[in-house]
Amino acid sequence: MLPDQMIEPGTLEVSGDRVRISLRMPWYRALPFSSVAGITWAIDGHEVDAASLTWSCDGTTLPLADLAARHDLWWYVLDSAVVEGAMPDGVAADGEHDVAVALGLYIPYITTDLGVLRLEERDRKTMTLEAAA
Amino acid sequence: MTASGTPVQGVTLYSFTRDFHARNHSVEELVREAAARGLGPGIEMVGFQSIKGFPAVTDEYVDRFQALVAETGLVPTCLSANADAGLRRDRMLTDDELVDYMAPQVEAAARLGFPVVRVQISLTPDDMQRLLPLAEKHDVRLGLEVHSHQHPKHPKIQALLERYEQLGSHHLGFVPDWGATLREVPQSLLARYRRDGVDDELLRKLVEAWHEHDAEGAPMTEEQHGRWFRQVMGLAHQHGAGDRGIEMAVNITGLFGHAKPEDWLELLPWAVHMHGKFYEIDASGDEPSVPVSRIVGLLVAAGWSGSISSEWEGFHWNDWDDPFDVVARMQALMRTSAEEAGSHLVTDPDEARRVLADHRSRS
Repeated sequence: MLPDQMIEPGTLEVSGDRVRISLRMPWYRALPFSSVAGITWAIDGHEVDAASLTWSCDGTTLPLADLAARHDLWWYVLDSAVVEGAMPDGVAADGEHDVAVALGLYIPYITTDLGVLRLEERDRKTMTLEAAA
Repeated sequence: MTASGTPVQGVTLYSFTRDFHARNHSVEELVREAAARGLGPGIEMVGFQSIKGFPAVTDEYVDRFQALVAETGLVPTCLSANADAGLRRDRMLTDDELVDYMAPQVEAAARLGFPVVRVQISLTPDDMQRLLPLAEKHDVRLGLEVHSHQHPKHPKIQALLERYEQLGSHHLGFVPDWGATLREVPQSLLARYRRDGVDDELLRKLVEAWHEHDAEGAPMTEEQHGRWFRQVMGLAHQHGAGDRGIEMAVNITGLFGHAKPEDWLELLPWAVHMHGKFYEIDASGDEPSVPVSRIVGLLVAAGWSGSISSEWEGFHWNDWDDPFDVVARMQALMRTSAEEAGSHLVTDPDEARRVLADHRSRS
């Protein structure tokens, strides 16, 4: 739902060897952090190492892998989540880039015979990489 | 002869999700806009959407909300709660945990002045029975939403109906969602897919699959729904649209239900509120996918006088229509349909309060 609003324009930033971006939730209501099933993020086709990703939302920063256990913390629908990871090799540290994000999202009140519904939403935008202030 | 029903017009803020999500309007602005455009008097919202931190609600928020209601003259009809049984990754919530999870949501609804709390299908008849004392304490009605792919004749809904009849409490009921009773795949969805470059052959097969399922009838088992879901995902993969397979399956098998409008009649004595789900209004003013006119005609003839929230879900794929305009056009269709059935849709706030108080005392 609303995948076109997932990548927030103007938020691709580099700081040293780290790169970050802001994401909006591709759903209509707040969901627990445990609903985030995974993030795949590529810049010009170079994937940001998933093991290097951190997630910051509503004052809490966690390694992406820790979200699964946090059904006590919430991603509100109007809040941005900042995802940060190791800058992939081969990406120029300025200029325009092709940015692609896929976000898996469990919907906790919808189950099918396949289990809790897991959506996979994708967004892709051309963005200018800025140095973090 | 049954007296004609006079359902009460209203809107859920969910219809304005795309606009709200884009941070164009705050909740307060949406409520004022809905009132200014005459989309009430009924007003509904989703707790986890409209209120940050829900179900924790401060006294200050309650005061502000009640002042907003007083200022706009709107009539709170329903707060939509969520039964998040799949909250955890390691296991599903137990029944005890799910009942506990619902309690603060019910309390928040009562404090905000909503007479009905929409709850969801993860709750079993036992869970509903266990929540009944809480509903009685706060004098709110718990309406379990009958949402596609469930439908009035689905075994889970029938089991709830049986329990409601045993308990005989007007604090328990249903919120029928008209998305369970479609007559066609929305044209706007197909238009979206075409714009996105989905090939015509796949679109033809998706529509064909929906009609095959329609001929088979609304699903009675999870296995049957699962088979349809996998069939649609398979079609998407075969036609190079695998990355949208889940979305297509959710839409075709999850949103566009196959029950018949007449099926709602069995649940009407327990219908505490309704979601007037719709997807699109065509140039003639009709809804080609949801048989709005037929449903309103049935409600009026059956003497049903509860609240209906117009719930526009076309925003999932439609970013070209103005959500306020499309809701206004759907409500014009409902009003005309009620008049053609020899009654009217209630749009005056004072009449709405009287009619809803009467509806509540009768059922």
